[in-house]
Amino acid sequence: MDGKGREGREEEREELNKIEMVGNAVKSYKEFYRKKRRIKLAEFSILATILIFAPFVSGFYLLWLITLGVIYSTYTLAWNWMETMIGRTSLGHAIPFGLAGYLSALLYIYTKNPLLFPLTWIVAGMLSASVLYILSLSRDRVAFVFISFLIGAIIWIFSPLFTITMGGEIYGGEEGFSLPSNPILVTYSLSVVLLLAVFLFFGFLRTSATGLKFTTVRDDERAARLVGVKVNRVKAFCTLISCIITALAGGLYALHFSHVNPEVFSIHIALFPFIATIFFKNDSEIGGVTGSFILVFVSNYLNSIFPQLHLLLYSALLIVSPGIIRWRARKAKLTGGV
Amino acid sequence: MALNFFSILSSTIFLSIFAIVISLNFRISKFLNLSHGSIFALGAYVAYYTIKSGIVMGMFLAAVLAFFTGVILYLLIKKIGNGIFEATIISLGFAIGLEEILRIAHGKGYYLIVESNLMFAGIDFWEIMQGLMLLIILIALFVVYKSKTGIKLKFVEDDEFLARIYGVDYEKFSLFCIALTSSAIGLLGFLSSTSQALYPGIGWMPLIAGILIAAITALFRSIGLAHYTKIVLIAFVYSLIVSIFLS
Amino acid sequence: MKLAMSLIGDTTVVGMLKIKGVSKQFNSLTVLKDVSFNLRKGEVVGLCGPNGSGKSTLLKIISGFEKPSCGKIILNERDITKTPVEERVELGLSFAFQMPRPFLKMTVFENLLTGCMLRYEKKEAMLKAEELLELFGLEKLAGRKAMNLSQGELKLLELCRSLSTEPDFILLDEPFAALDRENTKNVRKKLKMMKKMGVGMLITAHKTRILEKLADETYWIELGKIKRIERVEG
Repeated sequence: MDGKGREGREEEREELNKIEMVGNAVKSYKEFYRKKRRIKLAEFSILATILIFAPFVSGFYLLWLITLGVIYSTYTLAWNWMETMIGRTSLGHAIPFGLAGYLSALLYIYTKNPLLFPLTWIVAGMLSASVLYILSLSRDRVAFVFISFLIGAIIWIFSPLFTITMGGEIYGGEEGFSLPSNPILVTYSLSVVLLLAVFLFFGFLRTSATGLKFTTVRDDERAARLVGVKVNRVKAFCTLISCIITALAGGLYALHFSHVNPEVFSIHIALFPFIATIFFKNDSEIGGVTGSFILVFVSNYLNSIFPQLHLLLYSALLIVSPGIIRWRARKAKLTGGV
Repeated sequence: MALNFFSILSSTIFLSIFAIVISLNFRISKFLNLSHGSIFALGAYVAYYTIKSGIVMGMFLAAVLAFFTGVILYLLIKKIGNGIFEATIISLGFAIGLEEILRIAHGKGYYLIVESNLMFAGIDFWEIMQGLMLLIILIALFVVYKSKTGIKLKFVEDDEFLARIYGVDYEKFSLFCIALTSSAIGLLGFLSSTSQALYPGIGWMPLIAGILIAAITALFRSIGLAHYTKIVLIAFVYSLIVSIFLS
Repeated sequence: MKLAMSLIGDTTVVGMLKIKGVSKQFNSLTVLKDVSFNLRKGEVVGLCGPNGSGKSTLLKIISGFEKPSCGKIILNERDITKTPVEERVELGLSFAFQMPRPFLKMTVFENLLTGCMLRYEKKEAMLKAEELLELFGLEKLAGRKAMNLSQGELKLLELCRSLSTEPDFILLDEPFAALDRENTKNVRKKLKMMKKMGVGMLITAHKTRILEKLADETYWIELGKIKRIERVEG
């Protein structure tokens, strides 16, 4: 008994020695991630505070616009998740975004039951995820960009041909489908809850051990397999999460407008998250949210000058984007690591 | 049935030109040029303004305007882009910009109609011109690939980096490829303006179809003129399938 | 060294990697012809030969990146011919690329941590990663992003990461390629240290001389066939 106790004490002492031996690397790594988490939590708190108080200080139109910003922010975060975790830049994310609205509109025509909408959004997310997952299996990342763009563009071009006839009336086509209208506060609250949940979830996962394993796939798939990461599983998980959240945002977008038409599949929707994240660090949730809000508000201002003028801004940003992204990468390289 | 065959043939010619142009850009300038849809619209809008005052002058103007649009795109890519992905993104931004300029310039009348009833031996004059254009493009490609430049071109297609090392002026090839293909697409937009209502986004559908045909043809891994001949064949099969599907 | 030994699994159990009649054909081209040999835990085997002799293809087949046309790979009495790469790693096989492929946007420490997390919870894995850093003299680079490392440092990181999953066997594809004299010496030193730790290693190289005093056995491979064997006695 006594011997065992001595053994136990020795083990304890050994354990303590081990901890003392821990040098700068572990310490600075832990400190870095603790700091990162603290910053993310602070960002989350600020965002939550702003969004909670926004309805009390905003008029109807401003709140409507903020809701749009919140929805787009969620969409951007979901898109960015796929890029930063598995290194796939999707130009086909308008598919889950638009499909969610279309499926709920269809369901509404047949059942008139809006409570089933979330189910259609998840179905839309899963369907799109299966397509993007298959594309992600190839290690050719440029081909992924092109093919996802191509599939999205094909759906956009052919979606006006989609019509259904019911009771002698034709629904769909260029005009699209109608959805039940809701009080703005309902859409706002749902969108805010979704955004904050996604913000927290991604922020937590990004700074966890699981997040670190995921990012190995982004950096090098072959090397990731050599540290035991099941690459295809990671791809499937990240694509599914990204598409389902995008579909949830798309569903809320359709509810926000009480209407959905082929424009939800447009290239402009597909490009939104890419443009919104041009100026911000990829692994920063607050960057994606800020970029989305800026883009929504600036687009709204430009559209008030001339309809669709915001697309010229999109065009200019896309043209200069490679330069900005390279500048950002250079800066990151100079900054170094932990 | 005869009329149906004619529409398939007409669609084959139209899509072949689009796919050849996309393929040339991808193989020589090394990026997916997504601005071709908007340059096509630009050519069609030139037709709207010039078709009544003189066809030859209008065609020339469409081709020249599209040529210089291509030159601007080349300069942007050279200045900002680096590699296939970046160049493609720049071309996409350029396409959206061009489309929006057309939209803003024609804000009052979204859909425009170009009227022309020119016929030649009972066939629409503009269809004949498109057929002629495809023929000229194929002959030009044949001549170029058989010449000394053709060897350099194949070298560039195979490995641009190696071609540069061995003294091939890649930048010149790239510039001419982007500018000439843009010019061809602008001209095609002019020639096909009478067959559809014009709007700034008119070029997206043929662009996507062209990319699909070019991508399917690329699977055969042919080089030189054989590749472009196969594009025509694939465009024919594609048109046939679409025609069956629509009927 | 005690700590270093603890990085490697149970050294008392003699493990064995068996390559049995492995052949590989790409269309009509035969790259490997009926290659067979064994590698014991703690033993170093060199695989030398000219360019295009099939060395790298063999390593890719053993690691699971390529499939053999015929033949078997047996690891510790278990047939792993059809096992995916990541499972082979779990079973105790590791691989170091000829051109280092680190996780560029991660720090050196994180690069090692990802490997250590295969066998340990994060807290324990951090300690193991720290030990590896010390072992390879990479402490000063711990917080630096891999994209900012020199070729020599990258090579060391590649070796170190291959060890981070605590393998029984490591396949090293030309570890001395593209290194200057100083770095070659350093890598050799680390390989000797790994040998002492009891890891079985299969190392490819162009010339046998570079593996002198390191390899217990050296196979000369030409046109996909093992031609001759040099054994170091004692």
